[in-house]
Amino acid sequence: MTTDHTTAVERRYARLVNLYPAHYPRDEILDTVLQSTARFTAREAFSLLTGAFRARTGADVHRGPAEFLQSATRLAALALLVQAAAGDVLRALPLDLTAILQSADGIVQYATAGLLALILHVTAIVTLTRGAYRVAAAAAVLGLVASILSASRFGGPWMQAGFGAAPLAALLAGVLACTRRRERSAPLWWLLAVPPAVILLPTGSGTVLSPALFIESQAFLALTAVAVAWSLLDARVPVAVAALGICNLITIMQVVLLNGIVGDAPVAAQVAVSAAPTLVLLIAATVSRRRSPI
Amino acid sequence: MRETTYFILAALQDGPLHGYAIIQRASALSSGRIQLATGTLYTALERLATAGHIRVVDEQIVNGRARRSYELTPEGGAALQEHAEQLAAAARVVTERRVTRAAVSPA
Repeated sequence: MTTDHTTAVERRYARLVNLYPAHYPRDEILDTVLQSTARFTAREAFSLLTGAFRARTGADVHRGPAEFLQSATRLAALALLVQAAAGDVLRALPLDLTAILQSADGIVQYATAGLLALILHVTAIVTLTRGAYRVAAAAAVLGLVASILSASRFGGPWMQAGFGAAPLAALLAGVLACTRRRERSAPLWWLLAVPPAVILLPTGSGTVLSPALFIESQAFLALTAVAVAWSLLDARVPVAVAALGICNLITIMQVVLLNGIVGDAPVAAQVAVSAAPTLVLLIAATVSRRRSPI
Repeated sequence: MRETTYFILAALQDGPLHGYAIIQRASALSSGRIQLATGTLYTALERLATAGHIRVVDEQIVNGRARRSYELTPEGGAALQEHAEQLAAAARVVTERRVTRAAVSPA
């Protein structure tokens, strides 16, 4: 085997090893993989990629049942806060300027409340990722109050698509505030998820942006598929996405119950179909937790 | 405890080893069944370290690169021993029954 070939293999592995966070022993990992094989193999490449991914997403830490539940609850609260913030975006003042200018019935207070809710939910995301659980819980509860005020503009807030995210997030953030263990991560990816979530999650954006109506209905299925695949690496992810599914299901159940059409077969079938992705996600999380290879 | 984890801990029971030596020892102890890829090994080492089952005991520079050795902690040794006893008890359910049946079967 030529030196050039060895150097090329080393360079290719080094690129993958550099994906690990800085606190990992990158030199040692590269040394080990080069001792294991003289060739660049798909098996080693895949294991380094998934290892780096696990390390970057916090899936490489040992968690007992209680720690796993707490960590999954934290991810679920963050996912719900992203959805709540995305809903606030639609109702916030600067984004709804046209409607405010054209309306004479005083909707400014609703839009202002929407902006306040957005700021509070973003604050909750940042503080929850940084480990300040009590501040996050306070921001999530205040954000919920502001969300209720802003969503009242369109009638009963509890019936609106995706509105369940704000109260569920406040509930989970409150539960986390009562625990002692703190996890910390970077808030950037959660904040970057808010703009696409406006269209991809059930936020009611379909009433404003008509193509979103189709996208929203399909996006959750795509998100479910991604989360099920992700469950092979991290069992917490399907739990977090299942929280979004439960939020969606609560809205559907309320619509069904308040319209008094319980027992109607097509409606029951619709509820069952709506619940299916959430059930699949919870099963994926359970299987992943039990069958983790490490 | 997963089988992979069991053999990583078992590889360390005779003393500290570095990454590649753990891969080789785990493979030998499992008669070649456990073939650890490097990424899998280091995720497992990180989890075992956070669980307090192993710790870094030594670091040397070989070929210009840091090479750390890992050793079992008393907690890791106890967890390994407990799991080995569970496996042995489970094995006895089958092996002792075979012996009993052989003893009582008519000649």
